[in-house]
Amino acid sequence: MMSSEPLKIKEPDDQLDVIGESCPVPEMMASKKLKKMKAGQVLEVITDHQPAVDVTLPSLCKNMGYPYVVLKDGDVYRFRILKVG
Amino acid sequence: MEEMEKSKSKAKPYPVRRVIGPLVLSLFAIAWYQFSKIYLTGADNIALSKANFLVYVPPDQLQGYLEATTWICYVVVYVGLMMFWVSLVKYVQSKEAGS
Amino acid sequence: MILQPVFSESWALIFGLFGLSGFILGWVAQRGNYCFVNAMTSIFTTRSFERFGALLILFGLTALGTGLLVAFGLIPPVDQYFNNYFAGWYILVGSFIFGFGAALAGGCNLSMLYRASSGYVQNWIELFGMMIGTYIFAVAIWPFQSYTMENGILSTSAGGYVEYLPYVLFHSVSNMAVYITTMIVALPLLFLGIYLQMRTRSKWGKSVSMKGPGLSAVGMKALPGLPGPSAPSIPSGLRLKQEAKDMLLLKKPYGTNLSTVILALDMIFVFIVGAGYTFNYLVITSSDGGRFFEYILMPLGINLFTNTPWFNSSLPIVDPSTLMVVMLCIGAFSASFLSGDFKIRIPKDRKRLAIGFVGGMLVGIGVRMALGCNVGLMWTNFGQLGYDGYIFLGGMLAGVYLAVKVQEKL
Repeated sequence: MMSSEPLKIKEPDDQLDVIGESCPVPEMMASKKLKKMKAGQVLEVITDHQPAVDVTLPSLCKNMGYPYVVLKDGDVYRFRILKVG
Repeated sequence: MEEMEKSKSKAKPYPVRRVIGPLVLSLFAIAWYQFSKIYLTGADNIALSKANFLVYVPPDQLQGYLEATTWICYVVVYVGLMMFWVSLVKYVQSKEAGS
Repeated sequence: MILQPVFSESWALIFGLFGLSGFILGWVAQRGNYCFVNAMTSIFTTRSFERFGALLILFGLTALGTGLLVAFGLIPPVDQYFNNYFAGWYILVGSFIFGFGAALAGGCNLSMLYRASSGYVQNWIELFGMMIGTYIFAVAIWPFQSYTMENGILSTSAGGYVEYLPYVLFHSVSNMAVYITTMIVALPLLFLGIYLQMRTRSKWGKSVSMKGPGLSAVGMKALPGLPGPSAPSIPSGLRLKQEAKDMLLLKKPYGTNLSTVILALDMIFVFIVGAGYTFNYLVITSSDGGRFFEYILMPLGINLFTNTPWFNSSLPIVDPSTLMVVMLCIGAFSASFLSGDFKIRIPKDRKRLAIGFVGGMLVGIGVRMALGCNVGLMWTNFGQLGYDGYIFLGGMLAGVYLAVKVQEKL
């Protein structure tokens, strides 16, 4: 069982930079990337699209059952998703 | 949560875009009004002279449009200037706090 | 045919009220991040029906509101069917092209406008692409399309009451026929929408509880802005109050269903205001692509309406939707500015800009072929109790599906 702390500290295995993009791109790219990743790996989505942080990425995670954390980093968000098997 | 607060407490200069934005809005409203008055009225006259009644707008409708545009323009310009003033004050404050 | 105005407001007031409704539309869509395309892509990428369900609820509520107004005799049926479009092959083909282009470019006609006003450069490019697309359509496709429409090739040549569902079903436009049709159209949409939302939510609940309570806390703890079953220790009444306050103070986006209800009310408001003024097509946002292209060229001395096909026959120089679109942009800008969300954003991957332009062009061609966009044709047509909305919905879903598959390959 993984709590939120390791997700915050652990270096992400892969990054997806979608700064400046709007829906549906962040969600689509993230789901595409996640499909290629192995269980246990962490994907970090960097975005400044508020709705992606509020709505679409969480809904993606909830549907897949992946835990996630959101870190605010200046103007952008780092949305970390843990792929579970 | 901690990360959120951290980034907020860090004093960042008030972004200039928030000062210019409302000004652009006010200018846009004025430009839109001028455009409607000059070009749309002109275009309507051209449509009438070509007898193209599929695109021609009757005078009472055009007048109504211009009247509504005028009022909307007033509101938008004043609201824009107000927002501009508020952001300008905030911008100057953040500059002073930073120096 | 000349309609008798139901309410005799002055023209200025009519234009003003359309502008106001546009402002509300832009504001609420921005705050609720309402996106038709996104609602559809999330079906194919994550099997989430939450936002698609909201769309169906939106259509259902609109049909229910306008239908009941007519059924109870407050507004004559002619207002509902007057601008019902001609159904035909072009709606299916156009909506397919539209869905494909919109999902590629990242914005339907509504989200494109409010995002462009919130500073997304990609959507500016999409908007520009849409203008070019409209011109290509006008010159290359419209002459052929109007030929098939005039000759009834794979299309109905009448529109109006012929495509009004009460007439199609009961050969009558009596109050009773409208009432029953309203129920037939609205209730399945509403129930299906609510069912889809509930199913998706219960799936969320299941997948979270399956993996233990520790995990469900992960998402919630780090996300203070997420509406949902967070912080169970606070009494629900207080939480609701706090949430409402946050929304009013623009700290929090509107929830999907709240936006849905406001947007449906806005649409019904337009229907009432426009009753009897022949432009009762409720909300239109797509012709702006063509219209604003025309407007941009006017100061250069080029008047497209004098000689170019489609431009010279399809839209008057000014109508209430002009102000509606302008006010939509102003409303969206105000909402994004006041909430602190406004920022000029350029995608890091410059390839996206090219995709945005091509997608925008396809959007321009698609909406004009379909005679309207996801707002002006699909959503509106549900309010008009026609059947074009269903055709458009199917075509758009197929187009979005293809775009998702293509994007996965890119």
